[in-house]
Amino acid sequence: MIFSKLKLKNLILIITIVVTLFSCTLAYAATSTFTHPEVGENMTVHINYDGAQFDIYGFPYYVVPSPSRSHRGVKVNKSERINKDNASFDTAITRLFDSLSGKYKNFPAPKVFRLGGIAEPYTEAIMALPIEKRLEALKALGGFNGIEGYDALLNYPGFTSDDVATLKQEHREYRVKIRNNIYPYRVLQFYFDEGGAYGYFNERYAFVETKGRSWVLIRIAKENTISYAQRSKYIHGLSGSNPQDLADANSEALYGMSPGMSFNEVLAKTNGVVGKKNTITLNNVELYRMPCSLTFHFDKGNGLYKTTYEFTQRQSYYSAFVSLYIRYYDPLVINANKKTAWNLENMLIEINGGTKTPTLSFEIY
Amino acid sequence: MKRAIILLIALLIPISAMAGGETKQVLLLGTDDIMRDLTQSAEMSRADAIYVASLSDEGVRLLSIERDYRVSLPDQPDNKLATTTFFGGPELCMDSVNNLLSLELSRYVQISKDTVAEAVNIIGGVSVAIHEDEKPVLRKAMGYIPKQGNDGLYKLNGKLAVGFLSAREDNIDDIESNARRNDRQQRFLSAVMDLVRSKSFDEALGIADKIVPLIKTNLTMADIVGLIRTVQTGKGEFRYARSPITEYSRTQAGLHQVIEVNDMALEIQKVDEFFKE
Repeated sequence: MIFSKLKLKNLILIITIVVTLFSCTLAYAATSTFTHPEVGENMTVHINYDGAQFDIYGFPYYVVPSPSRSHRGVKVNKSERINKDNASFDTAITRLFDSLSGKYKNFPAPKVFRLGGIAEPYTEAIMALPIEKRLEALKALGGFNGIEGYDALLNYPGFTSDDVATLKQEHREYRVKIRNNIYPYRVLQFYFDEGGAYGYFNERYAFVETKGRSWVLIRIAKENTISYAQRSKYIHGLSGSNPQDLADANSEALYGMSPGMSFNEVLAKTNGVVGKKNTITLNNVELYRMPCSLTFHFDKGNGLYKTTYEFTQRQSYYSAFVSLYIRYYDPLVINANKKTAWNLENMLIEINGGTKTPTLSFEIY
Repeated sequence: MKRAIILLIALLIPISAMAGGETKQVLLLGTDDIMRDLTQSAEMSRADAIYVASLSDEGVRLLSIERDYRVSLPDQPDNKLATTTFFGGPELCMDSVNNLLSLELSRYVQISKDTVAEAVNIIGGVSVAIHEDEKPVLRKAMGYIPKQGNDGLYKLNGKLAVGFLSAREDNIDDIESNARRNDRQQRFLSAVMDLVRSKSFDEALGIADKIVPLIKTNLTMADIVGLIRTVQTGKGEFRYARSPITEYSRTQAGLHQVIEVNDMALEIQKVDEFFKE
């Protein structure tokens, strides 16, 4: 009898362990393989808590390292949390430079290394500086010190007053909204070529400015692509990006409407169904070549401020992730409570994968 | 019964569309599995093998077309040629090839990876040459290399043929990997042509009768009969080329790495010369 009880206890214990393990597997098995409706290729998209990756035919094309993985000597923090765990600008970039000599495991010394974006022509000048000055120059060049900060570049070889004037002209004060807080935001891009057929890639380091700790790292993203010059795309936070490049993507997000457009104007243009809480809904529309419904939301002043698309399949969460990457590059927050967000100057883009019918919203703030 | 009808049609077409020294060009597409996707309307297939077969009394000229060619698609950003079957089926792929190389193709044959094995088994296998340096990649894709025959060739059943046709080296440049795969594919197609020539007209029609249901094509019965006749009665010459013939550059189209030839007019001229020489 005692033996039977023990066996029963063991059995219950085993079942509990198995169920727990299975639940964990389910929780982390956020992966989907499908032909992307816009790309036309077979892709596998992995989205875990604060880490993401998509592969094309098994080849990792885009990777956002999760906080559990050390990347060139730093671990990123969960991106919706900004606290003491976020590496400072100096730590993150010093370690990146350290990694160029092969200091960190899995990060071989690249055969070619270049600064990206508008910093690219200044690679040699910056890399020739001692590390402390290199960090300062890079910070100034990346727009971290504001429009006046560019003047400091004249103290370094390789920069002319014409260069500084152009940099000032192209400067933008980028910001992002995280948990209802707005932070100054900057991105640095680097190009690596480790040799071999597929050894080339870009890495982007994103920073926010906190009140007490100055600039801290919130995300790293790595993508395999041969060039950016050919794409001329807007990357939020990267110096020299032109927001005009986003006009088509933003118009698509608002279904051709404009922010602030009145309820009656949208109704007249779309002939949609009037819903509760001052909304207009269109059924059977398409976004990013996926079937969905669309709801327009209006603020108290009766102006359009938000669109929400509801898709028909769970897989749309993964497909939309790639579509949004194509248009807006790096997500700001990844899979926190099944929500992944992108941020632009005045727009928060959020996809919610927590339901069988994922939703995607574009909110003007 | 169906075969008898085909034979009757063949007999009733004394001068088929292919007869009389005319050259007929057909687009041959090897695509991956056809399924439905998130759009719930498109065919989920990409063209991994894209060929133009030009058949005449002289024989067959086979032009392999690089699948990574940059193409413009209607109402969409530029993409690579391989994805055209996904976005618009074989018709869009044919339009894209015509636009790219100034051809006037109007006929296509599309076969998916799944049905290649079945088709090869129907024709009783295909014997091909296998080079020593490609054995490692083929062993990986096929599982094993069959025993070499007395003729020096390796006879592939359906499953082995799929491995042979789809094998690709992952550790080399994409375009080079595609070129090597195309080289194997043209060896395979050349062997199929030889096989068709070795059969009687009756046998060849019987095989066509069994294979036609496995493929997607807009060839008419008269076309099929004419093609078989041309292959069987022609001089049997087989020539192969691969476009791009001329120099090209790599660019980016969306997430894809694509190629663009540096002088398209020259490329078109070279392709034209290949078909006419």
